[in-house]
Amino acid sequence: MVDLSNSTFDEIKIPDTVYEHFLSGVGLGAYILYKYIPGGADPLGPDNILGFVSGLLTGTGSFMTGRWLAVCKSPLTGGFGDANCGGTFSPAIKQCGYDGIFFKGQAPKPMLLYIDNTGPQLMDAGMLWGLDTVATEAAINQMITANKKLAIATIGPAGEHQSQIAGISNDGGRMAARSGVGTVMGSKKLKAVVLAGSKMIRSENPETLRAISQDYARKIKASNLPPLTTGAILPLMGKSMVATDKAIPIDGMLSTAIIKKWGTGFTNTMGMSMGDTPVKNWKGSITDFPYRKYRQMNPDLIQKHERQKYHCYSCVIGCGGLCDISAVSKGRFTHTHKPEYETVAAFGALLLNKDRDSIFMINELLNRGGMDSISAGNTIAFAMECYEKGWLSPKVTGGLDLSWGNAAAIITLVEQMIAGTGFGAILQHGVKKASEILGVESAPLAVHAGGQEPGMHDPRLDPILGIHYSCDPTPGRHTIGAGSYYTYMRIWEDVTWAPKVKLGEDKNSEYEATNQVGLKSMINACNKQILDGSGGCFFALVSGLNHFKLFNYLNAATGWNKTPNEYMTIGLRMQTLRQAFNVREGINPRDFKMNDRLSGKPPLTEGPLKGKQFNMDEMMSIHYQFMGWDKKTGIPTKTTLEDLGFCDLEMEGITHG
Amino acid sequence: MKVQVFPPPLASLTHLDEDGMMTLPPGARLLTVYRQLKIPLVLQPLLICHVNYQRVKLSTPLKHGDVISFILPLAGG
Repeated sequence: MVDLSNSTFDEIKIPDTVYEHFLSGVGLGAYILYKYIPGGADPLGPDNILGFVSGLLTGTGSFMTGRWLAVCKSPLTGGFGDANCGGTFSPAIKQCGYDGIFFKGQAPKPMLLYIDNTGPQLMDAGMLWGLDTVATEAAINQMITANKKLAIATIGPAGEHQSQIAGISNDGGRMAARSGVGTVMGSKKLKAVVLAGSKMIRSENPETLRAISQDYARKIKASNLPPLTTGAILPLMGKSMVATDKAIPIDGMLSTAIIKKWGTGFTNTMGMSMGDTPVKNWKGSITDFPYRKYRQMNPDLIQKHERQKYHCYSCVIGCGGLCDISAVSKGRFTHTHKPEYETVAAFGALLLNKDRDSIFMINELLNRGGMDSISAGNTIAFAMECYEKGWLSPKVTGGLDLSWGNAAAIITLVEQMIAGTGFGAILQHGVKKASEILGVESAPLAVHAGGQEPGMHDPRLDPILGIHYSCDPTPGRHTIGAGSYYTYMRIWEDVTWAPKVKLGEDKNSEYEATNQVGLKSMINACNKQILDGSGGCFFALVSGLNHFKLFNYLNAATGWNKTPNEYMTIGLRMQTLRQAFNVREGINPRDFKMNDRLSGKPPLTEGPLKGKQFNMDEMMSIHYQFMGWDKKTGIPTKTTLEDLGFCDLEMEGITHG
Repeated sequence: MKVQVFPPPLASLTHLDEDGMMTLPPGARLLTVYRQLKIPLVLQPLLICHVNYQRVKLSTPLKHGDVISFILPLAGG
């Protein structure tokens, strides 16, 4: 634990029982945050703690387990905040000899933390303050000489200016974007964390780990699309996927061929044809953004700019890429990371923007500025709808014409939000704060869950996604779970009580708050905690647990002999601790319910999701019930806390319903 | 013999049980599975099919326990 107020360091020895109860990663983060943040702490004050945590499996020889997380009390939601990222930072934490690096206090001036094999030291970062994330990394590489390539996590101007949707960047603009983790880093005047350790990362059974990895890699290697496959097939695939109401179990392994070819960009057009991609601030449909517009986001057209593919640490899929944008940006930037689907959708269909070049530009501006593209896109969509309604005049927007699809205005607004200037100063803290500033009548247009803007996947297509948007302790997250993810995971082959998805099942049953839906969402939530405690990649999870042997990996790495059922209990404990953190911070879990539009209130009148709706309140109740939380309030029950062993864990003051 | 099938959209599910298992006569080939699934002709060129995570020809003989998977995209990002 680094105390930035006093420039002191404290090494905390974590008891083995903590790992057995919470794994590492997000679980270790939840344990530290609950234990060391005083209840009611100001998220932007010295009492908040910001942590960088690696995964339990990172560096053990397991594949697809190189993710790290930033954790803190979120300024955006007031509850548990975390953000997840790949790259090379996760193993670097462990190579310094730690599972996590935590910060409390506030530095009197900008600082950076440097750690190598000799230990940690705080260094003056005054000369870096004001630089964007890419420039910061370049400057640090000039400043510090080490025996190995530095792993650097840094904030950009958005975090420095205390935008509440600021993230943390590593590897030249890859973002741990969500929950306002960069805002907290900025509040602590911590510009960067720089790692250069080279300590060994050990595991209990390296031979077993290697065997599991080899089997997984063999299958991934064989999963390829024919060379002549083009993105033109993707809208057709999307249409065919929603052409039937019957559940069809999917072999996620073969789907990785698509991710290998296009990265997440395959969803750019497929998501439109199936109704997954939100349009026009979640109130539109494919009618508003038809094929002649959305075809501009064909991933083949994005790939034309790609000059280099890359993999995260220990990844065998390799969905990342670097794109040449010197022409697109008129010489301002040389390259950008291949825009993820989330960014393409948030600045494409959501804003009715068909200008692909503008999305490359926005992608790089946000990566360099250190701002969350999901939150920023949703917030601009809100502003555009207000403008359409005449609630915002050009006088208020500083002359910006916020008509739908105005790419030039969107770019300007992004720059203003990052800098905290002009009309961007009103939008820089996300959609909830913007709506509060603009007036109560704008609240129905502000699409968020508990203060955080949702990912670019529509719950009207997959209602279980809506449960996780509304019930996760870090709400609005698209990677926690969905009915489709449950199908891909095939977890029923490992967890004895998990319901099997039967071929031909009626998918429409997921629009009702049934026990089956509650059980599936509970399993999704628990399993995602296990993944995030392990440093695992979401795409490995949805390639199927029948291929990605997460539970076997964990036993091999630790020497434990736990069953998948026992790991699910650990996942439940992790998720319950995150929920208990929120309750202690005074959050009413029911207040995290997502915007009504996302549950079909009112229903869409056109497009693939026409007429789709469900009762979100009932969905939340059934999820709470299966989590062992009070069905009405969402507060973990006394029985659940006792069953999960919280009484023995010195987790004082834990609240129950 | 029985094989596990992960069918494509719009396929006929008549010959699959609720676990996606298909019973085939001895000597059946991958083409037999295509026929049983009644995959529309228009979709056939678009489909990518693996047997035990390897690309094979339609004439490939199948054996008990084989896993036959058709590519379907995931949503995510």
